[in-house]
Amino acid sequence: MSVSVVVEVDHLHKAYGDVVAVDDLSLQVEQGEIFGLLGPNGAGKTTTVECAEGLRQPDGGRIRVLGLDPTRQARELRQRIGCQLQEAALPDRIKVWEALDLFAAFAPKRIDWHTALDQWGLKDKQRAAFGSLSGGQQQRLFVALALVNQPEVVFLDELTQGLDPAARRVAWDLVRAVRDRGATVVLVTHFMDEAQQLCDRVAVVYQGRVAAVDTPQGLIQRYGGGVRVVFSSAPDRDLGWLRQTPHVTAVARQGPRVEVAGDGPVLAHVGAALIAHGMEPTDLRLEQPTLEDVFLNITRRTE
Amino acid sequence: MKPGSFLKLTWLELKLFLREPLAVLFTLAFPLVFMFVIAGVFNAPQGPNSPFLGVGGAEYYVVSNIGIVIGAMGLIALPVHMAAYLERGIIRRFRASSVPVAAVVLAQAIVSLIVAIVATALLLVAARPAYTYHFPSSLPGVVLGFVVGLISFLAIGTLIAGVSRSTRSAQGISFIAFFPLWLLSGAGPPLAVLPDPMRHLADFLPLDYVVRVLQDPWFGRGISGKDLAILAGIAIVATAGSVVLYQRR
Repeated sequence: MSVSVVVEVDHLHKAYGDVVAVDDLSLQVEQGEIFGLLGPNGAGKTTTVECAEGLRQPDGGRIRVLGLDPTRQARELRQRIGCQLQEAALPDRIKVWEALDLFAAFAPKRIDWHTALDQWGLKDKQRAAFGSLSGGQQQRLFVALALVNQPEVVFLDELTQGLDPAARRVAWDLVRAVRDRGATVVLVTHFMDEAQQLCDRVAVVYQGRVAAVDTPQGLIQRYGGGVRVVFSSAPDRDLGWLRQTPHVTAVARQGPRVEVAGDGPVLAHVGAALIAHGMEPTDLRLEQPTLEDVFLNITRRTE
Repeated sequence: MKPGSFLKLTWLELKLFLREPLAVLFTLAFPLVFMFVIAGVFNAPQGPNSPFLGVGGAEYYVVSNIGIVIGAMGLIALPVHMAAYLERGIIRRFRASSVPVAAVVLAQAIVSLIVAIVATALLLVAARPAYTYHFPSSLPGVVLGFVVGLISFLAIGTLIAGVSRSTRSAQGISFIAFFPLWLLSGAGPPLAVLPDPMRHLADFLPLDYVVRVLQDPWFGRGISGKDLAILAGIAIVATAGSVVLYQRR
């Protein structure tokens, strides 16, 4: 079965006056995946997503979302997508239930928005005015509003901004639930852990271009710089034999900390060699590179 | 767009308007207070030399202050409200969720119409025990003038919101526009007593036309097609300008 592409961006270019927000950005989002746009502030993530939502007009390039042109078929498109915008507001005096009720009324399908109140923990706030909500509550309301029309593609721009750690976990579970229901999710974030935990594939966006796209694990393998075996040893102990151990590529020592870089089954080999040399460090462990390492390596390389 | 959804939006906008004490106060109370003060001061009997279009001073002011209801609605309440919607990203948020800007503006216009009718009724009822005024000589004429005048001023208000960079600047433009228009509209000093240059200036101010299309049919002076056409022209130009400006936001 071939996978269909639901969001297609080809050589997108967008500038605000002299400032180039998106230089030359291309990406493809496949149906049913959680696709992350990861990058520092000002990398062009939000502009890209806003062009795809039809809220901004590209200066160059081509975008298709669900086969539709976001500029020329915006009305048709917005019935089928959900948008949580980074900068948006509601009237201060609108009540939570009124906002959900209104947005549901403009959706093409008949929708019961009451479940959204439960899902997003807004049940006891439903009669509260928007202006009286905390930042996290407002954020949860915006996500609930983005999903109220049961969209085929959901754009979430800085989903967990302003949420506390517990609420972030809840939000991640809900995003997974949205995907499991069959929707495609495009997630803009600058949180590495969020991208790593949540996304099926991640595009690292840097200076208005996609620097790399892959699964989080694939990115880590390609750009993470390999795994490191770490343990402690007396600083004056001779460990020259470690270099000869299979799968070890480098050894670095800093005081008592020994860091062994390598690949594949390096941990097992280092462990065996340590035992053979009569050493049994209790803190022997494998440190996996994270998306953060990927990110730093990619941005350093580009600079 | 489902038909029920526009009704829902309009109902919501009406509720939101009523939750905004300043807007309610300004559109309902201001014309009322002003009418009582000025009609009380100029409560002259009707006479051949009266500057009040042949009617008594009190009646003149009761009717002309309906024009002030329209002015306050279009020049203050609406632009400040819409400018806040534009500045804070509410319009963007609505648009992204398939709530068209045009629907929001239209819902606002309907809310304004309802509020203006209530404010006018309030004005007439409150004036009844204190002042004598007659039933309109031509009710259809007054209704026509009321509707055309209101549409024209709602279009101006929408345009003011569109050109404003912020709610603050919309408030500035609104107040700067409102007071001279109000003072020279004929709802302040009667036009007949104004010096010539001021009267010529007043000819260029749209609120004069609103007051005229209400007074003339009310006092049995007919209704001027030219006045209506000028108001309609303003409405068309301001709406066209708004369409361009709102699409960019």
